[in-house]
Amino acid sequence: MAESYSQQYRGKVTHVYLGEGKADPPKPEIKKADSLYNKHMQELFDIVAPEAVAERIDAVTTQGELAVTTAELLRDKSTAWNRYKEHKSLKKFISELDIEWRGRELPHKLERFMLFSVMGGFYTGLDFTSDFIADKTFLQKDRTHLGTSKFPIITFDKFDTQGNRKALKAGWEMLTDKLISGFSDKSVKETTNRDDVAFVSPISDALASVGNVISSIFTPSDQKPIHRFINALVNPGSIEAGFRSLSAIPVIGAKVENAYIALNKQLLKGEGILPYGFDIALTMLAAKETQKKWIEEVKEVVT
Amino acid sequence: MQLSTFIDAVNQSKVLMGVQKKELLDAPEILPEAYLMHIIEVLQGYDDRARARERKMRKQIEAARERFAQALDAEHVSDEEKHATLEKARKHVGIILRNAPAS
Repeated sequence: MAESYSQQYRGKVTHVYLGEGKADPPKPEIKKADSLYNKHMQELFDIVAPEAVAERIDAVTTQGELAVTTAELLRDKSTAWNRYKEHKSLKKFISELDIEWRGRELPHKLERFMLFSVMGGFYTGLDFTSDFIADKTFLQKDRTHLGTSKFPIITFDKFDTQGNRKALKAGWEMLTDKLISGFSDKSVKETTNRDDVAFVSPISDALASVGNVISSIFTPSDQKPIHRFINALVNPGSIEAGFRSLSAIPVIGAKVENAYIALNKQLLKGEGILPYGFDIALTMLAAKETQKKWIEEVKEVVT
Repeated sequence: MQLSTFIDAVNQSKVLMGVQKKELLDAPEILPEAYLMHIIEVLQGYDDRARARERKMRKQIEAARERFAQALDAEHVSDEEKHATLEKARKHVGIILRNAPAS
């Protein structure tokens, strides 16, 4: 069978005919100089490669050192005090220090201060009014019971010896506070047309609760104007407005804002917040018990 | 004096990129002296080490070239071929050194 094939090697074509074919094509001759050249190139690579790696590491380390040095310079230059030493402007210093402490610029500080002061005053007024209404209606001084005369639910006496009046007052105070908190949140939702916002923060709510417990225990059943005023101030809306008003004051406000944020974060991380119903019951009980104890002490002194 | 040393160190630096040189030379007179001195120290330190590495590498390459020439002689490669091979190696070494860092 006639057979032929061609072998291409280095651009040359070798025609091999029947009877002339070999098992393998002819191998190219490798010159000794080429072999030595390849060996030399490998040797050069072995010299250059480690140096290149060392160079790269050194360059990265040096760039890092330059970056750190520059960052240190910028940090030193970035404090408001250092800049004040250059520009000597007190107004600019206060503004820069405020931004530095807040980590942002708070615009319209005066407007914010005025707005939140008015809001705080309004919530305090609401609280005061609710107490006033209670004192003039179901907690009236001369009232002897709640409910009908045939079926009294709770009875009172002149000196509130059972502590019922004080307990009811504490409960009412907490209830109105909750309503004020809900009202302020609702106002903000309506104003901003957003459902995901609220006015009262957890820390204001918590401070109002704690404040109410303290106030219920330590204020007498027959409250004086100062007690009424403190009671009116202790509500979530007024406390929140207070925080926000103080936060709007330059420089000092920055620290108030930082504390407010930190306290809220801390509170949100915590667990075991008492259910509101239990909270209100506990406060009323505490108020009742302290009133009874006080009456006992008065009796002892009198007898 | 310190400022001119700083400008020279930045301009001659083997580690800084063009953008970095431009930024550092933007207004060096407002930079604190301690910062300038530290930057000079860092840049010159790198350049010294880079030059040392380059010297060492060139010395090793030269020694390798001599060994290569001797090996060609030992194998009785013709002068013409030896010359051509050494020239080819020289060109390749040039390429390697140009691309090698700090060259």
